[in-house]
Amino acid sequence: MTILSNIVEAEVRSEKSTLEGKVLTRPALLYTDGLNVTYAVDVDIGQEGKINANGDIGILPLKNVPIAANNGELRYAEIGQAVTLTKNDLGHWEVTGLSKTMPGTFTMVPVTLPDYCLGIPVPVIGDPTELGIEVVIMTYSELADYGLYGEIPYGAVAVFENGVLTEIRSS
Amino acid sequence: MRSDAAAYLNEDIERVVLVELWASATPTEIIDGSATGAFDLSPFVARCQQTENKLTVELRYHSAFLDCGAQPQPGQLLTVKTDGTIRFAGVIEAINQFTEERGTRMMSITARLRDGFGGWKTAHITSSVYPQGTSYVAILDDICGRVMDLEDNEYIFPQLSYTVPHTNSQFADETPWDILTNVLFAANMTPYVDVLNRVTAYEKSVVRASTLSLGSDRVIRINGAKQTQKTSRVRLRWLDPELTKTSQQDQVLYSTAMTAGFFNWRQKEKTWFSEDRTQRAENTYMVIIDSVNAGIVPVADEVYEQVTQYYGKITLQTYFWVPSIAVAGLAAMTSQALVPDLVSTAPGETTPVGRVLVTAANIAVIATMMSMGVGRYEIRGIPFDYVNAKNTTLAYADNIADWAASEVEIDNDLIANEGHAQLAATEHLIWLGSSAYAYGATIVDDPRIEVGDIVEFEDGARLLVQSFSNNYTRGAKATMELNGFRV
Repeated sequence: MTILSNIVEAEVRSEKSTLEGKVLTRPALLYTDGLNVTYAVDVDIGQEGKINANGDIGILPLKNVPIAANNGELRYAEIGQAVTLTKNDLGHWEVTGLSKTMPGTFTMVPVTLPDYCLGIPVPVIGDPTELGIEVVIMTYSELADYGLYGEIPYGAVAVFENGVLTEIRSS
Repeated sequence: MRSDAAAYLNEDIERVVLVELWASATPTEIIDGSATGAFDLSPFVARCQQTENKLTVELRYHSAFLDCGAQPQPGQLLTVKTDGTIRFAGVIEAINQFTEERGTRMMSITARLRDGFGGWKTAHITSSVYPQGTSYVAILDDICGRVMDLEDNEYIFPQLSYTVPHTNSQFADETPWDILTNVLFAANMTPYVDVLNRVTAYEKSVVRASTLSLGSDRVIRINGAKQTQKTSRVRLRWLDPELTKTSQQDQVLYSTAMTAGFFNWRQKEKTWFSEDRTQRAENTYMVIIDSVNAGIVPVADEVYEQVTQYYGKITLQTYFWVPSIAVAGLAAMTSQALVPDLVSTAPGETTPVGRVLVTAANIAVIATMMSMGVGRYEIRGIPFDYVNAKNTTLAYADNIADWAASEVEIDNDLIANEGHAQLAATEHLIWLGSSAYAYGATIVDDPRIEVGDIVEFEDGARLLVQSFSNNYTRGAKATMELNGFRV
């Protein structure tokens, strides 16, 4: 496959007008005109990127994606839900509904391609690294494990990045 | 590697080349050797060259050839044999040019293998539904046999141990060739059409054992080239066969008002978690907004239990004494009505003994009837559903700078699990990455070699054959050009 065909494929992919994602946060007020309110959530769309100056790779969620809803009906965009994102005329993404698929695990496998200078080239496959953000409502057991029982309210959510608990959100 | 052919000893051997035109034979007859009615074009062949999946034949002839009615036509089959071994069996795509000079006429024929024709790569089809456990080979058979109408001997695939991981799988709006490619991708293979015009596949692994070894006496020339990696990342997105549970926030799923009292021992109500009765929920519980017992006298137990993932049940169990007192009260009213009042013999008031007793019974009954309550209840819980996760497995070359990285994105829903995905992604990356090191060789003609074979040379270098070309022109050396990449 040539670089040109790769670029053409990338162009086709960039024409996508919908994405599937996983809601990572509770809806938060984004803006209001006094009468109507617009809420937004962070959405994991399964895209990785460099997350710090050290060049560490992690999942980069879309931040503050507005939720298309009326009557404050935001239930569908709750934490952990699979949602559909649609690109509007301005090229902005917004959450427009539910989805039956969502980003799952993300695994990176390094491969050292040989340079074929001398001898028999043998590619080396490294250890896989699992990325991904998991947001779950904490169970009673986790509430007890990660804080004094009763200190963290029931309904708090735990954020796991790459399988490691990084954050507890209680509101 | 073909087992029905033998290598030539050296390049100076004169090959007996037979170019035949089949006006009415079918590909399946060519493959099984039962075809009849060939017209021998060999005497007219001025040039005959095979490159990749194409054969070009130049014919020079006098008027006798035209008059005999055997003029080649597009769509007819054309074969080339060397010393009885079929080297090419394709379909005439075009008669490119007729040239007539004084005393000599010429035409050029282009024939192609099956994958060179449009139906494989332009027509979009929808496949059958393949249930879970369907072998990949069964899918390949269905596409080649049922959809593309090939005979059994016109396609040949190795046995594959992979099966469809999802409940049902169906390909929609894809070309047959893309379907073959997708299915074989999950088995680390890639499709091609062999020189007998059979649809088949070869393994992409570059670390497998060599197919055959060639001594230095059989190698005439080796050439190579290097370039930057055209592909340094393979992003494989695959549908996880295991459903993932997604839970929502704790919320109100159902609300109702119920009445309890003497008139009924037990009130029951199903609490579906959605109007269409399809919402699942867990950890459900009842919140009593208004209790039936909020009045003067408690009348019932209020109990909630979840029955299935889709609904629960509210039960109002009226206390036993409520209807008991009502019945007893009625009986008392009836019996006490017979108790006479006391009438004084002297003028004066009547003592209402009976009415007092009846009134007491009335009060008991009325109190019971007042012991009714209306309760309002909410069922709350955590709704959940099962969705398919779209997993991503990214194989990347760690020795390529980010700015130089070029990526291929593949969606394949026939991947069974993470291990399978990693194998498929890394094999594909190594296969594509190896193609940056073009490698070729000119060798003594060897009809055994097929696309996908790994040919090992005496110095240990290995060539994965992607295509080959051959010159069958009269007087040409018995050589063969191999093209591919080093592995």
